[in-house]
Parts: sequence; C-alpha cells; structure tokens
Amino acid sequence: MHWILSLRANKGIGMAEKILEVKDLVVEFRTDRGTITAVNGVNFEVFKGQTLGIVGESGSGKSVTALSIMRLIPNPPGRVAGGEILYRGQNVLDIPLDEMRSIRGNKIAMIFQEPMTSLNPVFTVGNQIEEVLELHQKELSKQQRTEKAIEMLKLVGIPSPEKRVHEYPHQLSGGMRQRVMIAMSLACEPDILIADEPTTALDVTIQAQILELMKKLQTEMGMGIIMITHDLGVVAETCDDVAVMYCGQIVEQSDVKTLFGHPRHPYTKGLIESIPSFDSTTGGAKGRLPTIEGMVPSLFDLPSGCNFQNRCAHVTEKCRGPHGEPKLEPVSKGQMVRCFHPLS
Amino acid sequence: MTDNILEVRNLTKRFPIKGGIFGREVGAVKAVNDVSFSIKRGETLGLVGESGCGKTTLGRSLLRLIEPTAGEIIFNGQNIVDLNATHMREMRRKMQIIFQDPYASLNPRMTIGGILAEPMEIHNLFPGKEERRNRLYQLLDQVQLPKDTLNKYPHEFSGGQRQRICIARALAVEPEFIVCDEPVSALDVSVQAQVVNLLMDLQKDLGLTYLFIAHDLKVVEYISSRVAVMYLGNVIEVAESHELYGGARHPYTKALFSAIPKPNPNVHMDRILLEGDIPSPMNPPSGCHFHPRCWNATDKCREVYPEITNESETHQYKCHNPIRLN
Amino acid sequence: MATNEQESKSLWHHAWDSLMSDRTTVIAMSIVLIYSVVALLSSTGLIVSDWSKEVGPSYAPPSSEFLFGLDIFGRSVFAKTVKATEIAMSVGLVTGILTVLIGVTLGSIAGYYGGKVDEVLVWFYTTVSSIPGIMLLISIAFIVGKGLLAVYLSLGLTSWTGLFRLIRGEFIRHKDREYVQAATAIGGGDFRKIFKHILPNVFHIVIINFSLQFQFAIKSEVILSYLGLGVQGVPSWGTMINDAKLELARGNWWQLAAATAAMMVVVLAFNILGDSLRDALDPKLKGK
Repeated sequence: MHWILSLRANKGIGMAEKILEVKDLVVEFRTDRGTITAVNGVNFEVFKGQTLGIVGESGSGKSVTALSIMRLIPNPPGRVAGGEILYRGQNVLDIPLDEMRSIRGNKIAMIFQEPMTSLNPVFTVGNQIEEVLELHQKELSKQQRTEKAIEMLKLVGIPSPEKRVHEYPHQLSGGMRQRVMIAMSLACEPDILIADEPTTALDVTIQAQILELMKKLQTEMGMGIIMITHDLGVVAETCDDVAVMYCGQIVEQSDVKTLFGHPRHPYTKGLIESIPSFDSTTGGAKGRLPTIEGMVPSLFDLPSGCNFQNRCAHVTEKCRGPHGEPKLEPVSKGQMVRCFHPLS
Repeated sequence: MTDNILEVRNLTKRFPIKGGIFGREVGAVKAVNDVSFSIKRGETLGLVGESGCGKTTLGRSLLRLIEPTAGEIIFNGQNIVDLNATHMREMRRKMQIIFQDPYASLNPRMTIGGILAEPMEIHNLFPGKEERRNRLYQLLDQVQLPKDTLNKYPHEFSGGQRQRICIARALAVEPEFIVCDEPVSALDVSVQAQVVNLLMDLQKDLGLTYLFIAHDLKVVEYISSRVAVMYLGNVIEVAESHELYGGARHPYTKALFSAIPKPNPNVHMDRILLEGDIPSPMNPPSGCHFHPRCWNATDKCREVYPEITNESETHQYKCHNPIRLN
Repeated sequence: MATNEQESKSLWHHAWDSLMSDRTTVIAMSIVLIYSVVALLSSTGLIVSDWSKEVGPSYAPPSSEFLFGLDIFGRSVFAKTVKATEIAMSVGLVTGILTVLIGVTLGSIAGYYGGKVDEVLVWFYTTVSSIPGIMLLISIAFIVGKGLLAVYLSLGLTSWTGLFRLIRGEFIRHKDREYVQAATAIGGGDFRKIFKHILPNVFHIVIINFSLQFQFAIKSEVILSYLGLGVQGVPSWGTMINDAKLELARGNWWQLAAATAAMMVVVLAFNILGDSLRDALDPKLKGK
C-alpha cells in the first residue's frame, strides 16, 4: 500500500507520519438469515494532519469499518473475521481489552451522528469531559480536570464556558452538543479522530460551523481524521483522500481532487452526477437528474461477479461472474479502482 | 390573470405553553407567524429553512392536519379554514401530502393494496371491483412499481420503494395539489435523484402543483420554480430559484446558501459563517429575529420588525438592511 | 425488490412463525391448550362428572388405586383437581375478556381524544387503582354474595387498570404518527383511525396482557377462595388449598400438593407464553 506515500511525494507534501493502517479488514455479522460480510477486504491509511473520507450509502460498510477500528463491533452477532488494524505499527485487534480501553478516547477518539443520544443526559457536559480525563490522565486532580474541561469548551467555541460546564445536554442546542462531543474526543489530544456522520443531523448553517471548527482544530492539534459521510459536498470540503465504499468493498480510492475531477468507477461518477448543482438553468426548464438506476443489493443476495453490475450502464458479460469479482487496482498515479472497465 | 391554486393569507399557528400549578398559559410558541404567499397552478414552490423555522408546521397546517390559529387558506378560491368535517373531507381529495419518513407513514399491518385502496374507499371512487383493480395497477405503474406489490407488506420494501408507495397513495384520489414534506431527506443519495425525477415527471404528466419542503437546498432549488425561505416562523424571502441563488437580498438567505458544502474541491469557499445558534422559537429575539446573527444588523433591526419589500414581481423580502447587489 | 419469492407474510404471520420455532414456547402453548380442553370437557360433563362420588375411605393417601389420594369425604383428589380446572380457566377467560373490553375501550378513548375526556378517564383509573385490590374484591363479594359471580365481577372490574394505562399510552404515541396523519390526509375519520389503523398496531399489547392477566386471575381466585369468598359447591384449587389448612395438621398433604401443582404448571405456562409473545410481537424488535 505505498500508493498514498508516492502520491504525497509527487505532490511535494512532506512525508506525513502514518498513524493508522487498515489491512484487508473483513467483518462479518451472523443473522438468522445467514452470515453477511459487512466489510470485505478493506485497505487504507491515515496520516497525521490529513483527513481521509469514507463515502458510501446504507449497507456500504462505512460505519462498521469505523467501529472496528475502535473494536466496538458487538460480538455476537458481529466479528472481525480477518485483517489487521495497525495503530502506530501495532495490531489493535490482537491486544488485550484493557489495553484497547486505554487507547479508546485517548489515542483514538470517535464522534457520532446523534449528539443527543451519544451524551449521557443525567450528567453535566463538564462531568462528561472530565470522565475522559479521569480515565486516561489519572495524574490530574479534580480541580485540574474541571479547568481542562472549561479550556476544551473554549477551544471548541462554546461561549461562556465556565457557565456551560455545569449544564446538561438537554439545555444545549444540537450544534452545541456536537461541539461538546468534539471537546470530549479531543480532551486527551488523540492521534486519530473518527467522525461518523458528525454533521448529518445538524442544520446546514450549524454544519458549516462544525466543519470549520474541525478543520481549525486539525491544523492546531495535528490529528488525523477519518470522516465518514454520505454527503459528497462534505467530502469535497474537508477531505484530502477519499475511499468510496459499496456493499462492503472499496470501489474507488484516490485523493479528493482526482476523485471529483476524474472519477473512474461508474458508481462514483453516478453519485457525483446525481447531486443537483446550482449551475443549472432556471426552474421548470431543468431536465431530469441523472440517476443510478436500481437499488443497492441486499448483502444477503449479492450477485456473482461485480456487486454493481445490476445498476451499471457499462456492464458487460465479463462483469457478471466468469472472472469473479474485480480487484482494486491502480489505474493512474495515486488512484485505485475496482472495475473491469474503469471509465476513461 | 394569474391562476393561483392556493393563496395563504396571514397564516399563524401558535402553540400555547402551559405552566404554573393551574396549568395556565404562560407563553406561546409562534411556530408559524403571519405568513402569506400564493402558489400558481402547476408550479412548484420550494420552502426551506432550518430547525424551528416552522416549515413542517406550515405544510401540515395547509391541509389542516394541524389546525391554524389564525389566517386564511384559500384553495381554488375557497377558504378552507372554516370548513366543517364533511366539506373538508371533499377538499382532501384535491390536497394531499407526502411525508418525510417512509417507515412511519405506512401502516405496517396493512397490505400495499389495502393502503392504496383506502383513499378510494373513503371517497367512493372507482367503485367496481374490476375498475378499482385497474386503478391500483395504474397507480403502481405511475410510480414504477410491479403489480405484485399489492399483496406485500411495507416491511418488505426499501425506503425508496416505500416512498413511491406513499406517492401512489397521494395520487390515488387524483389530487391537484401535493405538499411534499421532506420527501427525499430520509433516502440514500442515489435513490433521492430517482424520487425527485419521479415527482417531476408526475407533475408534468398530471398537471400537479407542489409545495416542496426540504432542508436540502440543492434539491429544492432544482425542483422548484420559486423558493421561500423561512426563519423562526416567518417567510423572510421569496424569489424565483435562479434569483435567489445569485441575488439573495436577505443576509440569512445568503448565509444559508453559502453554508452548503459544494461537491467540488477546487472551489475555494468564501463562506459566510454565522455566529451562534439558531434561537429557540419560544423566545425569539426582538425586532428582526435574525439580528443577533446578522453581520449587517443596524439599531433599527434590533427594534423594528421589517416590512415586506418588493424587489420585483416575483421577489420579496423582509429586511431593513439588505445585501447590496453589484 | 423483496428478495424472498415466497408468499408475503404479514407481521402476525412472522410472529407466529417465530413463536412456533421456540420449543419452550410450543410446550407452554400445548399446556395451555391441554388445560383448556380439559376444562371444556369437564364443563360438558364428558369427564369427571362423578367427581363428588365417594370412592374410598376418608383421607386415603396416594396409591396406585387413588392417584392423588382422597379427601375428607373420600372423593378422588385427582377428579377434584381436574374439575377445578373449569373454574380456573373460566375465571381467567372471563376476567381477561372483561379486562380487554373495559381497558381497551376506555384506554383508546382517553388516549385518542385527550383533553377533558382523558382527564376524566384518568381520574377514574387513578381512583380505582389506588383502592387496595383485596378491599375492592371483598366489598364486591359482600354486595353480590359469595360465589363465582363475585369472583368474575370483582376481578374483572379491578384488573382493567393496567391495560388501560398501556393502551392509553400507545394511543397517545400512535395518534401523531405519520401513518395516522396520512389517514387523516386521505379523508379518514376518527372511527377509521381508531379501529382500522391504531388498534391493530397496539393489539399485540392486548394479547400479551391477556396472557399475563390469565395467570394473575387464577392466582387471585385462589386467594379469594382462601379468604372464603370464592366458589361454593364446586371444587376449585383455591377451596382445595383452603381446606388444606386443616388437613396439613393431620399430615395429609396430597390435596394441597395436587391443587398447587396444577396451578403452578398453568401459571408457569402462561408466564412463558407471555414472554414469548412479547418477544415475537413487539414491533420495536422488528428490524426496519
């Protein structure tokens, strides 16, 4: 997996420090209808100070991938069936659970989509930030923890943090709560922040604030961010590199400019084109939106051959099974595609 | 003479807040505050805004699913606010609604055939068995679902398919006007475009008029001929889509459009970032509700609520200190 | 398109399949079925119609001849136990039906209409449920006189409160749901919304409650009989246990054992059934 490193060399970006490497990750879920492979052989790298976007729709496996990095996959019914997750060279799938706990929230942190349900309603926001410090920075006194909590609230742009630190989640708006979540996740200055649809539940003006905040904090604190989202606009704005997932596999992987400028997989191209843009003509005279026909197949019922065959405008017999599944292969410098007929 | 299928005048919906030991009214939330607009037959009016702006309440009030507190809703020349239950039922043939959550808007215990036939039963349409069955097939055809859909149950379908079923249900009574309340927000991106296309096709084929409520500005701007922007219960700007995008006069509209992340990494965002949170509709700021977050705010904005300014025949806004256009 | 080519199954059908797939549940259901059949046969006189006949010496212990032994009058304890099933099952059934009728009617009206109607009904419910059950039972028994009718009335008129609360809560939750709003939008009236839309979606609660209520009724009958307020003239497990008070002192345990065992088995079966029904029918557990 040296394609990203070579890409950076080409772009003159200094060799950013690689902090996470996911290799051939496979995650399965057992259900009464059979076993499904939610994540099927996923590879990517995360670097300090850089944002990797993982884009996909329902069933793509993007959230499951994120949860597996933190070893938060509920077992049963799920389990990591293969692969390695190397944090600073060490495979976190192998380490004992208490060592994993010392990493969670401390070195690798996560923020979720719904800030209301991710925050405990019976504790003040200050308490919740302090809890993270209590677990991982045991040398701090109670006084110091409270001070640090107030400092974190200020860092994430919450006004009057000394007052807010004593408030409960329900007293804060959605945007504020998400800021609190960010404060909690950054309290121990982690190397990696995993953000699972962090702005999907927020209003668009608040979303803009939160994305701006995350970028600013990344510049100040230098952590790597994994941004999981279905919104290509968010990807374009915030990510340096992108992996597009479909039915548990990465179907296209490249840096963000190449992805939007020159998508090679029909699914990626279809997604980009189906977003209505503002440059279209006046209302009424607009044609139909280009769409991807059909629906995402059920993971219980994947076709043999390419998973995307039933929706692809360029499908041929080769895609339907005789050659198995297409592999993820480099198609140009720094761009990988999983397709028998990548777009030119 | 413009043919307005719908005219809304001074529509208000307030929700009282009870408090104290005797449960007396201590305040009120003006979810919809003195809203007036009209929709021409065959057009699509988009309605956008963020949480607490009142767009969902407005949409449901138009159909009297929520009873308005004050104002008039004039549909095809008739004020429907005071109609009794029988007359309102007749009116419901002409005005329908599609909801946001395709999982919650279908009764899980009924077959699709039952769900689609129900509106026809209520209004006694297509009474013969053969006639009704043909009508059901026709509806399925219009939303591109196969015939065997009729015997199945909602839990057997995906979100996009359920939304098509909801559209078919709305079409069953041959309505003229449909309120689309965030119809694609809960769907996957690749499915959203399919449903948007379907709605646009149906509008052309059946001559429908839509009120399209959404928070996704891109979709609204695409499907609508005119767009109204709401903030804390008020319509603060209305204009044709292209006028709004390029030439918004109200600072909130401009901020709203600039906040949307563009799917183009090469475009450098000169984005307007609003300060602070969206205020709660229970306690709106004085004067112009937007002034605490407005970079153009003047003293007058803090004290006096702005009147409507007519920029052109199609473009109105409420602002003391609008954006200057070059 | 739906991936299964088989015939479409409604949610009820799915629930039934899921119930049938669990062995414990099937056993519990069979037990309930057996008890019901026994009660029916006994009530029509097809079996144990001669329960009152003296068949041997007073207080004969269990033996190969007399399975559960004999009581003070030399009557077969086995026959009495079987005969008593009638009382138990009928009490459970009648109480269950009364509870459903009262609880569902009042609960749906209160939950759906809200406002003053709700306030009045909730006041009524609160009053009834704050009176200690035993007192109510005894009072009604005094008015109506001892016997089966007293048991039916006192249980039926007091056990509806739990179901009322549940149904009212569900109606409040469902009436603002979008599928109900959709019913309004297509022109449906109150009647249609209550009976055709909301009720089928809360009915699983009624079924679960009925099952749990049944065993509560059986136990209550035992208590009433123990207090001397229960059925007269026909054996019931309660009266048998009541009689056991005196017998135990003399070392005669078989009547107590038989009645208690018979009761425990069916109560346990209903409990298991109630839990399985809840697992199978609760829509929250159904994936989207």
